[in-house]
Amino acid sequence: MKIITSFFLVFTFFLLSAQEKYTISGYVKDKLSGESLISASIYEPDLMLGTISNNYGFYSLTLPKGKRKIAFSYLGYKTITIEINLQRDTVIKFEADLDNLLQEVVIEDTREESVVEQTQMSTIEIPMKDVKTLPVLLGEVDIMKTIQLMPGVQSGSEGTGGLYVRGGGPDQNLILLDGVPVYNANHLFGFFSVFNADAIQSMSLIKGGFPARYSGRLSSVLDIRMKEGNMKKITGEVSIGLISSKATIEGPIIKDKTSFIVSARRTYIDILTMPFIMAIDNGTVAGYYFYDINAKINHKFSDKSRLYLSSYLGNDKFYYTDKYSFSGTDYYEKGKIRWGNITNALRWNYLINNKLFSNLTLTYSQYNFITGIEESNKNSTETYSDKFEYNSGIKDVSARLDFDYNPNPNNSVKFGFSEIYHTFNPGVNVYQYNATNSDNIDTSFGNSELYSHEYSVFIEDDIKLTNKLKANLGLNFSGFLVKEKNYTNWEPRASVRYLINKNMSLKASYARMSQYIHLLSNTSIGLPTDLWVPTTEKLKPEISDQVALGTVYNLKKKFEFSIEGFYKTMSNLLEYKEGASFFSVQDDWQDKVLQGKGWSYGAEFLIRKQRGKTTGWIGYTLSWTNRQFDGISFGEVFPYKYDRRHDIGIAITHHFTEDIDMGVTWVFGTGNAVTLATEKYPSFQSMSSGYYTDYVEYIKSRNNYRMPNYHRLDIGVNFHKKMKHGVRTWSFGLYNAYSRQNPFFIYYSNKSGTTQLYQMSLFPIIPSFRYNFKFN
Amino acid sequence: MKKYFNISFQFLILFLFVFQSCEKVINLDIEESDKKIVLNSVVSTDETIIVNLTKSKSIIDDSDIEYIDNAVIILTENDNVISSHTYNGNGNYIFNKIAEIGKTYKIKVNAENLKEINAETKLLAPNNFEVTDTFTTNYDGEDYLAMIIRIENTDDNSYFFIEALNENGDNVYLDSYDIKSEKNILGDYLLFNNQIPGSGNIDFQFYLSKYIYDYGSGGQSYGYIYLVLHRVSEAFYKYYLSSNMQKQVGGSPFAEPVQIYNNIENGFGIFGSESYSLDSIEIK
Repeated sequence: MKIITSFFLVFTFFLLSAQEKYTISGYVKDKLSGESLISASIYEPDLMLGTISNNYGFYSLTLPKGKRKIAFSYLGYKTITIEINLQRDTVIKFEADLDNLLQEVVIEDTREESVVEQTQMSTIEIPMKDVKTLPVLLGEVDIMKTIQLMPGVQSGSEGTGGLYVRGGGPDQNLILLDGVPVYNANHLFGFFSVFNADAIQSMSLIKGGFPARYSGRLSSVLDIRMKEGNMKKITGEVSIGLISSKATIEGPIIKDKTSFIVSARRTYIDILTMPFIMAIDNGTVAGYYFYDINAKINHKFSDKSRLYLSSYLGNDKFYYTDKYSFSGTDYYEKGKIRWGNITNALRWNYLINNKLFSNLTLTYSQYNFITGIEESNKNSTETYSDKFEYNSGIKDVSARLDFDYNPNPNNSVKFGFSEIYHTFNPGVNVYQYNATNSDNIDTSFGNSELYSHEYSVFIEDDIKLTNKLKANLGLNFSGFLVKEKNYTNWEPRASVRYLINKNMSLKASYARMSQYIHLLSNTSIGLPTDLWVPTTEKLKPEISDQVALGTVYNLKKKFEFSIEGFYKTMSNLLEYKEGASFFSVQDDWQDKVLQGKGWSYGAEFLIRKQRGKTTGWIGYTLSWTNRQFDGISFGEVFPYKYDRRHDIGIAITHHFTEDIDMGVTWVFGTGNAVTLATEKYPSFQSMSSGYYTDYVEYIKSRNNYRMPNYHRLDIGVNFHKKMKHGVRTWSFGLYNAYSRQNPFFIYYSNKSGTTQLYQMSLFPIIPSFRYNFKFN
Repeated sequence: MKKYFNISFQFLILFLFVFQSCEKVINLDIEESDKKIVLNSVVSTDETIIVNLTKSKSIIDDSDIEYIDNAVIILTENDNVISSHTYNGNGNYIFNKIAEIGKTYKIKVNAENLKEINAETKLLAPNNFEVTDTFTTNYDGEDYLAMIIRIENTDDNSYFFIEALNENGDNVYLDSYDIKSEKNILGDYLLFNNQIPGSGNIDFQFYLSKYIYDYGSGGQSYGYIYLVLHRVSEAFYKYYLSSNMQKQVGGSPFAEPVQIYNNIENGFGIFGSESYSLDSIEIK
């Protein structure tokens, strides 16, 4: 009997294996706007087989033929379930309606691919609706500030937009806007980011367990996708705030075929402050402004072929001019500091067959910084003028081809290759001089341009090994060719997920990453003077190895609990030498830097709720981050500037009614590390001169003290009202609601007559308001 | 060129300060350290050994300098005690001894209730050198006189200061792009070192302003330039470099903090050595 039973089981297995299979494929979209839905879940509940949509909303799932139930689900949208008789390869398009997330009740048989089930760990995804609800500085919604509220992600100094992820520096984040790297994501020293939330569809931040398709940075990948533009009708949004206004318009050019979106923003700080400046000095004009423009157009040639063109242009500018006359001479002075990004991406999706999806991306990206001053004077007998300008930047031209291949429900393969041609300008100075009866000067000096190729080839497979065990295994081979030096690195990647039950899983990952370009930064402020420089014959690529282990628990699909530990080592990190400063413009930058090591380890805790009237999260990070450089702090290990032992982020949103909602955030962080002298003594030079006493300061070690703790409460309230042609919203906010004087910078001074330690703070309590109208 | 940058960044910093909410005095619980003996002394072949002793103090202590008047100093030359010294006021102890090349000097100091300090240095032989080439070069719109000197028989890890003096004995500004030099160090000396393995002759290139200013008359003058090549101990080189760098950056938030090199065990300061050789060249 046992033999017969065994035979029957084996026969059935082979029978099922031999069953004919067909593929269902298609796109998932928002019904109202036609926007693609990324990472939506498509599954067969009876067979427990499923897949998720890619970055363009495309999915592919191979199933045995016969009567099948196919379900679509995605957070924020109503689930769709259909029944089909699968007898051939079939195209199924899903167009989903928005769901009412204010409902607490969850229909148990829905099956979004929850965080529990995903193989990918160490990932933060925040819906844009949450980003727009939370209170912010000066009423400016900012995705970077929102991400900083999550565990494992720190801000730099007060108010700045840099991301410091698991002990990494601000240049170790691959920030992609529609697949194009953005080099300086800061307006106004990092107080605001360059990303206009109205133009953004989705964002995700990966802190570890990086899939093989990503390379080039050690610590994180921030993948930001712009909206595609409403395919159905013209809609838009206008927003007027305390320091800036913005407008967005999107709609079809040809309905269901071609759409566009344009979004623009500008501050008017310069206009507001101009009268005050002129009141002080009538001859002086000074100001600051930033603007950015996002634009995208996409065209559907057919169900198989689509083309996207997206662009970003943004600039910050400080300027001043001063004119006056004295003793018969007219004086004129003009200065400017300007920096900005341009990014362009042309992408073509082509569906080769229902299992193989291809994407070709061509990009151009440029970041540029310019500062300059001109002065001249003129009288009846002489003229004089001189002009100085410094500029630096980076320019990329790249091509990338990648494929999504879903041969069967147990494998989801991605593979591809890319090449970036970098042009680095690490600082060039131009000087011109003209004067009566004097030789003219017109010269340039500084660093010369550097050119390099950065390339990579990758393959990864998301494999369902058993019903409980899933793995994402991949390999990235990357290289960097600069002058005649070619660096190459193999970067293995692995993530594993074990499903303990449907509500709980264990995850682990390993990733090796290489980084061939570096940001030289003197300060913690996001200064535009920060220089992007390449790996060279003298300076090796940065390498990191990170392991992570964690668990996720989902309570009744309402609460998500996660705990994750990580350990990361980094080598060939770059730091300025002691005493080095950006001011030494005539020096080769390579002579001002050192390479060293870093370590970072810790644990992250997150509790999150995404449904119901009250949503939000509480995150806590406990971590240590250290560095070691021969030539800094006498070669001893020292804490990294952003070695923040405890970091807490709380973000809560409550919907009182459909028209009134409130957001509260509270952040706490133990103080940043800072270098302070503790003693002083007379210098040899002054003692040997005998004329004066000059002291030198004794610094025991780099980053030997901690600034005071940082904490801040922000509150925001939104009042919505449905009008005839749209929805208007009034938003009121309080940044730093209890006006805590948080440390921005500390220094010694004896300006009061005795030497004391002073703390400078930036933002007290700041109220804000914004008017928003969304028309349809 | 720096002035242009300073103007731009003053403007930038000004804008930053517009945003500041306030300043306040804070107490960061800076650890109270016991005062330590500060020893400043560099032995050389051209004067008697002078040891200056003072006390260190807390960074927030604004009191006057404290000289150590009654220290007990044991100074040895190749382990032979140099017995006699006199106290000359202002912390200066003068030994009736001129240092000799090739000899090792050790010092031990005890004073008041301060911890005993120790230090050691060796007086190295100077290296002969000669000017092998001079030529005019233009940089940043100004003419400079470039010089190449050849230094004979250097060892691994040799450390040098070079200075140029005009006929009035005033220092002339020097700079260099030679890879061996330390750039951006203000002061009378140009610092450079030889860390290429294997001893031998090395060439060093530097430049000086073609218009050698006579500080007395304020006009341009030509004549002889006297070059003084100081061979210094590694400790003195590192001390001088780090102390000048720290002074230069002066707490700027745009520069990395600088730690001062110190070879005084249980104390602060520098116990170093220098010897020198000369050459001159006529500027026409």
